[in-house]
Amino acid sequence: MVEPLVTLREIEDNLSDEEKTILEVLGQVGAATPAELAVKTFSLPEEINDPLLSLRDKQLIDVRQVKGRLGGDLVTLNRRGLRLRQELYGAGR
Amino acid sequence: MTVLNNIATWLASVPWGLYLLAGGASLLLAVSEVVSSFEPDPVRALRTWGSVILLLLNVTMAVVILALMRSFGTGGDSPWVALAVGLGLPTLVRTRFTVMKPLPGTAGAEGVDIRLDELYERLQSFCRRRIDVTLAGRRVRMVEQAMDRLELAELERKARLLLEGGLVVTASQASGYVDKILDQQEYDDERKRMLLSFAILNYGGHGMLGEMLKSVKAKPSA
Repeated sequence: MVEPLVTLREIEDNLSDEEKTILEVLGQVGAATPAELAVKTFSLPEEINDPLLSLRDKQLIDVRQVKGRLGGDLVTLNRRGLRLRQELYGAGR
Repeated sequence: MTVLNNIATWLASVPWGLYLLAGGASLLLAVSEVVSSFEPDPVRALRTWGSVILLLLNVTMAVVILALMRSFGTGGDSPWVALAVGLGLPTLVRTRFTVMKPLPGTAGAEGVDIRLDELYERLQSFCRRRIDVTLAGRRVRMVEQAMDRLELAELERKARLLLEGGLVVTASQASGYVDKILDQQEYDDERKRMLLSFAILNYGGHGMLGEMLKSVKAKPSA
């Protein structure tokens, strides 16, 4: 039930700097659209597309659809991502 | 009428003050959990369904435990006991009870735990996610309003003040960020307005973007 730490450490070793930054920001804001995440990391939305896809492939984030004109995706950390984020940056928020 | 009388008599016999005390103490601790988790914006976080569920659950658990204690006749009629239930409940639900633990050196044997802490953590995670998603949705709606009602030049001016003034945001990447957005040839004005609005909202807060929205009635049509 609880993710072994060694697995999380292996994942951490394979994270790029951008991916680590996104994990930290997601831990702070909880949930955000890719556009907001881009602003929080002083990037353009296109620049964080690949790190987001990679984080989703590593099963660290969940992406859900939101309604409205900005529409599109809302990104959140899942349990695994939350645990890894706590390993990287402490409990934080 | 007899049934109604019975209900009225029962209601009159319930020590509401004690339940209020236990529920209130538990509620206070749950509120402090939400406030400390969402420090920058506690009021908005408290006004979400995720918070309401968490708070109601804490109050309900305190009331049920006090009712159980009173029904067992274990001294639940004292205000001090009610207060202890309200304050002690959070400790109880964050505790892992080990019912059976094998002697040291027993190969392959594990203890038997009642993991109340894990159950509560899951509940907290569920509520927190609901709060996070609700708050993110509200930020999106606020940015949509800003896109509708605020001029690009106005958003640019405020974003520059925030990001290039060095008072609020000191990160080195912040200084060139507004230009980075505006220089994107393939972006239309709406996309630029969206990113600048998110920047003002995130670095200046709800208050700042809210004030900007209040100061304009509607963006003049192009």
